[in-house]
Amino acid sequence: MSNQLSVRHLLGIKDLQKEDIELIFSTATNFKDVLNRPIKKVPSLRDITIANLFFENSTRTKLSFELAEKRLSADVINFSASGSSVSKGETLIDTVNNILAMKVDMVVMRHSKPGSAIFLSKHVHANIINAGDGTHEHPTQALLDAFSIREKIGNVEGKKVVIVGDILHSRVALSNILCLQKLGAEVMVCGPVALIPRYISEIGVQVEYNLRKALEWCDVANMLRIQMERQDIKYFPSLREYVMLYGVNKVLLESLKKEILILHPGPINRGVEITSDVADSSQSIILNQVENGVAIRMAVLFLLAQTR
Amino acid sequence: MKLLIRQVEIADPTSAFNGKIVDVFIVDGNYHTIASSISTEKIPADTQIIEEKNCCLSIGWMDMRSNFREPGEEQKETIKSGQEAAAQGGFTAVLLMPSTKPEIQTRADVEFVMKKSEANAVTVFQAGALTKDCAGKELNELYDMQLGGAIVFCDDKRSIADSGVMMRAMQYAGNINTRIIAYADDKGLSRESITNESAVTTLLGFKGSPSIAEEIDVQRLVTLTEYTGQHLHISGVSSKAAVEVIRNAKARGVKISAEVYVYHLLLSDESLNEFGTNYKVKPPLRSEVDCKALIDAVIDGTIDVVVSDHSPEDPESKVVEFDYAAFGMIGLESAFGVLQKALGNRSTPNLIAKILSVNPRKILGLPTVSIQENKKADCTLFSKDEEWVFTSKHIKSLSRNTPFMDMKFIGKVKGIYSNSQWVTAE
Repeated sequence: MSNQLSVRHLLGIKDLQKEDIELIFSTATNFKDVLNRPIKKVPSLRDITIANLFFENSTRTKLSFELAEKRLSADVINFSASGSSVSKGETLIDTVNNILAMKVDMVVMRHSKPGSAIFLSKHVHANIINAGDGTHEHPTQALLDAFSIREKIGNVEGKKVVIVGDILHSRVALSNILCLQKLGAEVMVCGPVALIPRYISEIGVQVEYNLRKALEWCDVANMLRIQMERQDIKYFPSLREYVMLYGVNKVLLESLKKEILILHPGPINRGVEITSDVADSSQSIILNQVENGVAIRMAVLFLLAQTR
Repeated sequence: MKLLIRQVEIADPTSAFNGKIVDVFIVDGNYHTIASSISTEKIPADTQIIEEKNCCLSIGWMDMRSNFREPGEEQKETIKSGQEAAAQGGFTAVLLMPSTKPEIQTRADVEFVMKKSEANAVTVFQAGALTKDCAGKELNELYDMQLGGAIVFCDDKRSIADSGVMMRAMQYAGNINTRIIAYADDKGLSRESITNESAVTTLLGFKGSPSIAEEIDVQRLVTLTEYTGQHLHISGVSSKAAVEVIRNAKARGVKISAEVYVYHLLLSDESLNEFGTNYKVKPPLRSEVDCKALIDAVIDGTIDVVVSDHSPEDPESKVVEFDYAAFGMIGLESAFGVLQKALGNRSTPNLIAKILSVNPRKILGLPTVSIQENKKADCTLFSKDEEWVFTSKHIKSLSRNTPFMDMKFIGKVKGIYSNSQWVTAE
C-alpha cells in the first residue's frame, strides 16, 4: 500500500480512491493508539501552521479538528465568520489569502455553500480540508463513521447500512454514501419522501420510506439530525409526527430479529431521531465516533502534510 | 461605401437567389447588383472586395435576447461594447432585455437606449419592462414606451406568478398591437434552486429545480394564450417536457412561439462537476436528454428562435462561491460556433437564416429583410466549414464570463453589412 494520498486536498470523498481511505484508516489506527497513551501528543506537524476557518457554526467538528491539530503539535489559528471581515463584504479568496499571507500551510474550512472548498482549492496554495460545505460533502465525518463501523463489526465490505432522516439537507449523507460504496457496503436511505433527493437511486442507493423495513434490512443505522435550520420551508407537519414515523426507540429496536449498530453524527436531538435509551444503549457507538473523529482528522492532516 | 462580396451562397428563403452562388455588389446601403459573376471592370475602383472560400451570405441575424448593462453596470457592458460584440457574432440587430439597473420601464428610459445606440452597424431594439420593477404586480405604461421605441415587453427572466396580472397584460398588449415575451418558472417548485434537479446535481449537494417547474408554467401560459387569443413568445425553453407542451399547443393552433438559449443545446448539467460559475445559468443546464430534445425541436420548428442570452458579468460577480455567483454567460461572439457545434451536420444555411433572422423578425413584427437588388442591404457573411478556436481576441464584450474559451468550433462569422457599414469579424 502506498504511504501517500492521491490527493493534495481533502475536498470530498468523491475524489478519494479506496486505497486512500485504507491509508487514512491505518494511519488513524496508529494515532488512536497515541491518543490512548499517557502522553497524547506527537511532533509530526511541528512547524506546520493550520488555520481553522469556520464560516458556519460548528462545535464538535471544530473542537475535533483543533484537538487533532494540537495532538500533532501544529500551530493553530481559529477564525469564525461572525464579526470578521467577511461580514464587511470581503471575498472568500481575499479573506483566505490574507490569512495565508501570515504563512499558513493548511486550511480547514467549513462553509454554508456547496462547492466552496473546491472553489477555494482552485484559488489558493494551501492544502484545503473540507470540514463541511453546505449540503455537499463532509468527508472527515464519513471517514470516521466508516472507521467506527469497521472497528465495531470488523469490516464494512458487504455490510448493509441505512442512513435515516433528512437526506436532502445533509452533507453527511452524501459523503457517507460515497465512502461506504467505495468500501463495498450496500447503502440505503430512509426518510420522508420530500427529504429524499428524487434521483438518489441513480447513484446506486436503495430507497425505503418505511423505517421498520429499513431497520430489518440493515446491519448499521446512521441516524441523521433533522436540519431544521437548513429547511427553508416545512417538509413535514410537525416534529411530533416525524418522530412517530422515523424516530428510533428501544421498543422498535428490540422488536427486530437482530442487533443493529446505531450511529449518529451529532448533535443528537434526544427524543427526535432517537430516544435517550437508544442513544445510551450498548448498540449505540455515538461516543466512539467522537473519539475516532480526532484520530481520523489527525490521519488526514498528517497525510496531507506529507504531500506538501 | 461600395462593397463586392465574391462567390457566396445566398441564405435567404425568400430570395430567388437562395442557395445560389453569386457575386453581391452593395452600394451605399443597398444591394445594387446580384449576379453569378460581376466583372471587376464594371465596378468602381474604390470598391472594397471580399473574397472568402466556402461562405454563405445570410439575411442579417438578429439576437432576440441580449443584455447590455447600460445604464447601471457599465463596467460589465456598455451599449457600444455590446454592439461591437454583436457585430463580431454576426448579428446586425439585437433585442435588449429591460433588466438594467434601473429597469427600462419608462419612455425616457427607452429613448436613452435608442439615442445611445444610433449610428452603429448593429441596430438595437429594446424590450420594455412589462411590470413595475419587473415585480409582476403592476403594469408599466406600455403604450408610452412603445411610442418611445420599445417593440415588445417582458419581465426578463421573472415569471409573472399572478395569472390575472399575466392575462390582463396579454390583453392590453393586444390592444396596442404589441407582444409579450414570457419566462416560464413555477417558483413554488423551483424555489431558490440554482441547478437542475438530477443525479448529477444530487452528487454536488444541490436540491435542484425540477424541470416540471418550467413545464407546468409553460402549460399555464399556453392556457392563457388560448384564452386571450393573443400571441405569446416563450423564452428560455430548457426541458424536453416543456418542448412537448409547446409542440402539442402549436399542433392545436395556439399562437405561441418559443426560443431556446444557444448554450442549452450544447451543455448539460454534467458541466457543473467542478462548480464552474460560468456554467451557472438560468434556467439551469439540464440533462443530455433535454439537450437532444431541444435540438430536435429547433430542427422541426417547435422552437422558432435560438438566442445568445448574452449576459456580461464582471469577476466580482463570477469569481466567488457558486451560490453567490451571478447567473449567465456572454454569448454573442460565440453563439454561431456553439449553434453549429450543437446542430452538427443537421445545420443548413436556410435553417440558420430561419432561426436567426426570419423568425425573430416575424415574432417581433419587424419588416423582413431580403437579399434582392434595390433592397436595403442587411446581411451576415459566414463560413460553413472554417475551423477555429474561440479565444479572447474574439471577445469584444467588456466581460469575459464564458465557458467556451479555447473551444474548437466549425463555421465562423466573417462579418456583417448593415446600416451602410461593413464590420469585419476577428
